[in-house]
Amino acid sequence: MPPDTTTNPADDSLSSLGAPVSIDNIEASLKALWSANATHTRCSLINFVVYSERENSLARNAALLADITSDHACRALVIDAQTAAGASATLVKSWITAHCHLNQAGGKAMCSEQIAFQLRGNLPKLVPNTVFAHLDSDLPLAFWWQGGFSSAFDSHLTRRIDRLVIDSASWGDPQREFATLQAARQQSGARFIVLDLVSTRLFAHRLALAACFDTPETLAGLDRIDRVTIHHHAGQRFTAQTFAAWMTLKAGWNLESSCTSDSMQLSKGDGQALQLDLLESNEVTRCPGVSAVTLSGTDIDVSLAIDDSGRYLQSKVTIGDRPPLGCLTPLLACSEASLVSQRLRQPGNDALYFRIWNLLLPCI
Amino acid sequence: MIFDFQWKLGQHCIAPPTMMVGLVASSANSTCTEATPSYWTYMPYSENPFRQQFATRPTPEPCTVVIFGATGDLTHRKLVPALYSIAADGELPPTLKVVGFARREKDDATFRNELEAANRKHSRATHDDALWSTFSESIHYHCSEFQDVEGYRALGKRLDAIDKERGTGNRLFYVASAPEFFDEILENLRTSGLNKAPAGSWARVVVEKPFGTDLPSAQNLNSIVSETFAERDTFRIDHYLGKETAQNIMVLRFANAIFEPLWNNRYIDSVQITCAENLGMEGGRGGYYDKSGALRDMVQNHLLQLLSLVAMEPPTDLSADGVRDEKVKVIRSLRPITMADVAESVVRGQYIEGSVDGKAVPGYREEDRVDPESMTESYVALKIYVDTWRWEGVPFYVRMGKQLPKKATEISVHFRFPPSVLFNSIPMQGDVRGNVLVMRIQPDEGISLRMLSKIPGAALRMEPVKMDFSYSTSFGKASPEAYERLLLDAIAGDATLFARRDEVENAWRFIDQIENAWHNNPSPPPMTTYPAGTWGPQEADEMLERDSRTWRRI
Repeated sequence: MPPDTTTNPADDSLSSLGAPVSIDNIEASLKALWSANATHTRCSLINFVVYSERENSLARNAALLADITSDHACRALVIDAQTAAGASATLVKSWITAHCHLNQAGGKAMCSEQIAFQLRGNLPKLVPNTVFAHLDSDLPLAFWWQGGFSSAFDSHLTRRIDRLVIDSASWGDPQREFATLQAARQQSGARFIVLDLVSTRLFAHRLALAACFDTPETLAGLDRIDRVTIHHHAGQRFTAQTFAAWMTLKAGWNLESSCTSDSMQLSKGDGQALQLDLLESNEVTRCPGVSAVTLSGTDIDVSLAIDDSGRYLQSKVTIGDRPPLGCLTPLLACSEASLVSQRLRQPGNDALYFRIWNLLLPCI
Repeated sequence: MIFDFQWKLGQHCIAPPTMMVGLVASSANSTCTEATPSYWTYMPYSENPFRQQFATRPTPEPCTVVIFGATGDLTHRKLVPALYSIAADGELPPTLKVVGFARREKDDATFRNELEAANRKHSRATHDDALWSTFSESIHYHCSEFQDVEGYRALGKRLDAIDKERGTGNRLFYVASAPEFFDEILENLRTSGLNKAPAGSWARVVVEKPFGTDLPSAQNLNSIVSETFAERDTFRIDHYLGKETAQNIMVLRFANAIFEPLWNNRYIDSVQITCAENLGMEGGRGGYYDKSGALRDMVQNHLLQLLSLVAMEPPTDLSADGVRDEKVKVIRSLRPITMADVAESVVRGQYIEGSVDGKAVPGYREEDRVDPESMTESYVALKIYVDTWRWEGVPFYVRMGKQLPKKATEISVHFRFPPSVLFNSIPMQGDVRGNVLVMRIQPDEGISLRMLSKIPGAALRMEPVKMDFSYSTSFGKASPEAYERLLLDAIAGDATLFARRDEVENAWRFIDQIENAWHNNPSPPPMTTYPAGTWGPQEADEMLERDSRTWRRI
């Protein structure tokens, strides 16, 4: 039977990674694992690489994969990579295991293989080879790059990626990282689409705001909005900015010259000014991102906020003396694993993604 | 930031200024509450700039679903569990209401309790008490006889009140009653004016099978429907089309480059479509079935729909009419089976006593509510030709039977043998030289391809092997139920997976000739028999043997 991978996310020991194997014996060991377990079914729809250059990331990422594989059967490679100087510094350790989940239909155990690597050395050389040598053939390659890009993010690697998962909210220097991303996309042969978890984090907010404007009364009131405030959790300023930019593009507003990381001067189609402010809140939440949004103007107020349970977004529209209209929108994805799962379920290009970045670049 | 509103899922809450609001739908993409009466109206999503680019398919809009036959099996086993599962997936449109319409007296609470018990058993999504509590708030019961027009007028008033409360006048009427009431329900909808939607809204009708019992009755029903609703607002359900595997036939054929070049009479020898059931007339089914039979109950609708998906030309686009235009061309191209052909091309049969799953079962004529001298077939096998350029000379063997050894609906495409120049001297047992592509519609949904492979060893020996794709092992999650997809599509106004009038009538035209040859023939072909638990009458095997073919082993 494949090793039990019921792991505690807090457990950063390497025991959860399964059986240690030498790198040249990985495929044979996996084959032996499956031939010894006729009752478990190996499943794979994609190759999914989780790559981190943070210290001790393996156990944590393996725990995330235990969740993600319940939705996405894959050949998973989880990589902890650290640069080490000198030719003799090259070190590769590897482990194999499987994440098994009972399927809903027949109660069968469906298993995703996981190969964990600890890489120490010259990463631009080590990483592409380690990845390419262990992919399931013919299946697409989804690559979750955690944190900012390093020298390992080079064209040998990126030309083979089909879906690049990133979280731009985690970038320390968004302008530099975005430039790296753009350069990689523009390289000859690059074909990857960008799946940014920031967009996924904002999905419910976009839906909730859209629901507020389903009535002709609120849509007509959009022209009267003259102030927008977005509250966000600590470390989620860029998420809030992304929401502001999405709203700006959707509403047909224009960004004026004055723009900082915490405010934007906008103008509407009729030339009237609109002030947008970003405020950090210190609420503790299970769902970090944008905590509340208000749009106000003459005779109209539209508000979104995460409810007490943290499971829903409440929205409220007030126009004049009409009784308010309220909606609840479920926050389907909050944890990192659920965000990635949801994003992989919607692997299409976000048509507005790069337009949002272009709008934001002067402000960050 | 927390508003001064008090919100609690599944409970009523107080909104300022001292206005009662009710939670009116479950965890849809948004679940909206508002004051009663409504001060808001809804517009099509396409007019909302914030909605654009959200959806990759038509978006279901807020509406009220009225189910005729609300106390019936279909409502309890399929429709309400499907709506609940859609809600659990967060895809139910906001402010959706369900009104059950039926004859038995009961109140909302009783109706909801009955549905809750059924939902626990039948819904794909796990029953969650909190979600059900919210969802069930939007379910109501309306008691009336189907023949009583006053009951429809009272329904109209109730719907008007709901519309006023919700700010939307969209209505979906789902006719899930016994078929003998279809005409009256539609006529009363027209008489009471419920077929006309308020300005800016829509009124649609979903009609369950059977859509008629022959061509004249289908034409009559169609004319009543078309006097009541426009064709674009009419959704004739064939739940096979809602199955993922049926939808995947078009994807397999037209989204993969390797199959379509081979998909013609140059490379395909024959096609088999099998629908096998390992049940008989349990649960009082005999009463309905004995008036219908395998040909009318399954072949006229489900199996001809599958055949048309396999045989159709590529549509010009994926619009409802783009796809249905091509499907109807196939149905119109079916070579008629005349009185003279019927004995050669069709085998009908009834099971006699036998054994299924280790249990003794009675013969068809001994079943509950079945006429002891019944001439209704529990099994039918047909050889059908599609008279088009592509399919000239390729037989489509279609069979459907009750009390067969296992439950399976499958389509198999049998390719021609390769030229026998290299390996023809190598002995092989049975008819295994040709490649076979199998689409398993249900259960164990998937696709397999049979091909020949060399057995390892010094000698040159070959055996067939299978490449197998299974939905459950590839995608893990259970596929949505067919009714979930079809309900969402009807609410969104997408008729692609519903049968159009001309499809239904042309299918009946084809079937009626066979029925006519059976029942109005001075020397009708015999009613064959087969022991329950076997693969049908010997005559069906002989029909293929005459063509030097055999039924595929399932």
